[in-house]
Amino acid sequence: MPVVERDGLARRLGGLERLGAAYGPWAAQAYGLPEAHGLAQALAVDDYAANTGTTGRVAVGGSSTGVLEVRRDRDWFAVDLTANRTYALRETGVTLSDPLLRLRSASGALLATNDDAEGTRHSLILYTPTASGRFYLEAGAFRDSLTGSYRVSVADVTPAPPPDDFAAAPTTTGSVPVGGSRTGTLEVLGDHDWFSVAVTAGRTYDFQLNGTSLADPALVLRDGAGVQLAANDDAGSTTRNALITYTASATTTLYLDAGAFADGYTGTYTVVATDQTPPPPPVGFSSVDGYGEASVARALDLLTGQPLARQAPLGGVFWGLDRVGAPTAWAAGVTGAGITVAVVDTGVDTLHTDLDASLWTNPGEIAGNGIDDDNNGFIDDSRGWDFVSNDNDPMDLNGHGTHVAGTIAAENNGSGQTGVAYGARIMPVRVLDAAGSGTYAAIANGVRYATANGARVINLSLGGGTGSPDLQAAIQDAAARGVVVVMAAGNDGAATVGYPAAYAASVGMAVGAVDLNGTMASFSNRAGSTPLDYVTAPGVNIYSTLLANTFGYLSGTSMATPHLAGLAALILSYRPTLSAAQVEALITASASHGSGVFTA
Amino acid sequence: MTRPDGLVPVEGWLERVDGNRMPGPAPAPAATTAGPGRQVLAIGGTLPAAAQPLWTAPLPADRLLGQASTDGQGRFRLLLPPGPATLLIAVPGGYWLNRFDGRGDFASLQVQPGLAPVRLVDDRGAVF
Repeated sequence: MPVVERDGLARRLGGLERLGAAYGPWAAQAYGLPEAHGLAQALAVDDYAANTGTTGRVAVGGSSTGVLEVRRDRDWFAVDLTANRTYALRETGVTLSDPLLRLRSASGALLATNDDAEGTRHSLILYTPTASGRFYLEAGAFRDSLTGSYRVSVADVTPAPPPDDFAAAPTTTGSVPVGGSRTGTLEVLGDHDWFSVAVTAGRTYDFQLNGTSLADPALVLRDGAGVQLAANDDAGSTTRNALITYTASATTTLYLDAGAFADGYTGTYTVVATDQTPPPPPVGFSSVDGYGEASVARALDLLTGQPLARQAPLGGVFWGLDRVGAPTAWAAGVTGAGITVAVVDTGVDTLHTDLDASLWTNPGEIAGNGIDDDNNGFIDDSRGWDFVSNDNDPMDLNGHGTHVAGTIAAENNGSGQTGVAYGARIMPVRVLDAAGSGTYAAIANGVRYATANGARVINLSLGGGTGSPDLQAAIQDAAARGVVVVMAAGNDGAATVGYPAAYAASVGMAVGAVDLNGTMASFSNRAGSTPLDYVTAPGVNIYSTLLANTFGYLSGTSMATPHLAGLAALILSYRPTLSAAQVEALITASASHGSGVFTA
Repeated sequence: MTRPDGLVPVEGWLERVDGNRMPGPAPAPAATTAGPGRQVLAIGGTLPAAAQPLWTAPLPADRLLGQASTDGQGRFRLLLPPGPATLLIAVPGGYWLNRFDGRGDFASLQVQPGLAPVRLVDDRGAVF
C-alpha cells in the first residue's frame, strides 16, 4: 500500500480519538505496519484539532508542545493577544525537522506564515495586533510532508517605552512660563504630562497644545488639587490642536495636562501659554466720548509748550467755534492758511458767497481748456471733481457738503458764518448724489483724489453700517501720506461707531457730537470699548452755509466732523511738518472730558 | 403768468425730514411729504430772525400776504404780489423756517412770474 494511502487512512482514523485508542494497535497489526512508524499513535490521538474548537492553548510568555502525528497534520493553539503590543510567535521543532507556523485570526483567517525565520528551519512570526482578542497559532510542517513533535511559544517582545518625561501630578518637573512654550512626548498610550503655569487673577490666557508628531492632542487645565477647570480637544489653530482660553480667578499655580484624544495616540507636542488679556484702554480714553472734546487751543498749548491767550467767546451762532477754541488760534495768527481740506461729500455750492473765496484751486490745471494740464487723470479739475457724474463740476445738489464746507472754512467776512479754519482752502470732491447716496467705490476714489492732489485733511461726514476694504485702503494710504482723515461716528445713538469711523482704531479719527453745553448728543454713536482715536466736537444745531446763498442749522456727527477737520487744519497750518499721526496724537492728548463747562 | 389782479401764483411743497439722514453708501431714505393740513404763511419782505429758525413773536399782521394749507401731497399754492416775501411753516409754538440770509434774516424769495416751485423743509427732527 502506498504511503499516501496509509496516511490518508490514518488521517481519517486519527480524528476519531476514542476509536483510535481502542483500535489503533489492532489497526497497526492489521495493516502490517511497524509500531515505530507512528501510525498507531496517530490512529490513537490527534492531539490538537486544526480549527477554532481546538483544545490547544498557549499563554503569552508560555509555550505548549504537540505532535504532528501524520503528514498533513496541523495543530491549532489559541492565544489571547493585546493590541499594539509586539509578540514573537514561534514553532520550534523537537523531532519535527522543519516546522511551519501560521497565525490565524479568531475566525480562522490566515494572518501570517513563516517557515524558517529562526535558527535551523524553525519558524518565527513577529506580530503586532491592532486590536486585542483571540488568535490561533497553527503548528504545521513544511509542505505538510513531515511529522514529529514541536513546541509553540508566545513571547511579548514589545520594546520597553522610554522613561516618562513628565509626571502627571503636581510633582511634575514640567513648567511653562507665560509667553513661552515647552515640548514633551507622550511615550505610551494613555500617557499624560503635566506642566505647571503661574497665572494672575483677572488675566486671560490662551493655553495651546500643538501636536508635532502627536496626531490628536487633548488638553486639560487643572488646579493644584488636580480638579479639572477646563478641557479642550480640537479648538486650536490647526486641525486637532487643543486650545483653552481661561481667565484666572486667583493668582495661583495651575497645571496643563497634556494628553491625547481618548488616550489613543503617542508622540511629541508643544505646550504654549500666552497672556491674551486685552490691553487696558489708553489713559484718558472713555468708551463713551473717547478722549473727550477736542480743542485747538489746548492742542496748540501742548504743541508750543506754553498756553495761548484765551479769547472771549463769540457766542450766538459761533458757539461751535468757541468750543473748539478757534478764536484763540486765530488770535495767535493761526487761521488754516496754506492747508487744503477736502470735503468728500455731496459736493460744495461753489457759488456760495460765503465759500467761493475759500475754495481750493488746482494750481496745475487751466480751467476749461479741455486738457489734463497736470496729468493727474482728471481734465479741467480746477476746483475738484465729481465722482458721481464723473465730471469737473462738484456742485452740491443736496446741501450737506456745503454745510460741512462752511463749518470748516466759511469766509471771515462778517456775513453768515465763519469757518473754524477760515484761512484754509476747501477742495470739493463730490461722491454722493442729490439724495445723499453713493457708493464706497466713489468715496474711495474721492479719498484717493484728495490725497493725490494735496489735501492735508479729508472730511468724511458720511457712513454706514458696513465697511469697505477699498475705502479702508484709501484711508490708510492717505494717512501714510500725511493726510488727517476725520470721520463721522454715526447717528445711531449706538455704543460703537459705524463705518468708516471704525477704521480710526488704526488710522484717522472718529468724531462724536456734543451740544452747546458740551453734553454728548443722544444720537451720537459712542466710542466703544475698542480704543480708537475718537473725540467729540460740536454737532447739535450747527449754523453753516446751505445752498443758494443761504444758511441754516443742521445737527449730526456730520456737523461735528468738520469742526475737527478745521481744527486739524489749524494745527497743520501752525506746523505743516507734522505727520497725520502726530496731529491725531496732539488732538487726543489735549482733548478733555468736559462737564459741560466751557474750557477751550 | 400775471393775473389781472397783479398777483402771482406761487406753488411749492412742504417736506418733512426726520430721523438719521447721514449720507453714505446706503440708499438714502426718501423725503416724506408733510401731508395735508399744514399751514404755510407768506409775509411781505424779510423778517429779522436773528438766525433763529423758530419765530415765536406774533407775525406782523399788516405784512401777511397770504396763507395756504397743504394738500395730501404736501403741496400748497399762494397768490402773492410781486416782490420779496418770506414763507414760514406754522409749527407748535410759532413759525418755522430753517433758512437764513447772510444777516441772519429769514431767507426770502422774490415773487415774480415764472417763479419755480418752492421747496420748504421741516427738518426739526433730522440728524445728518
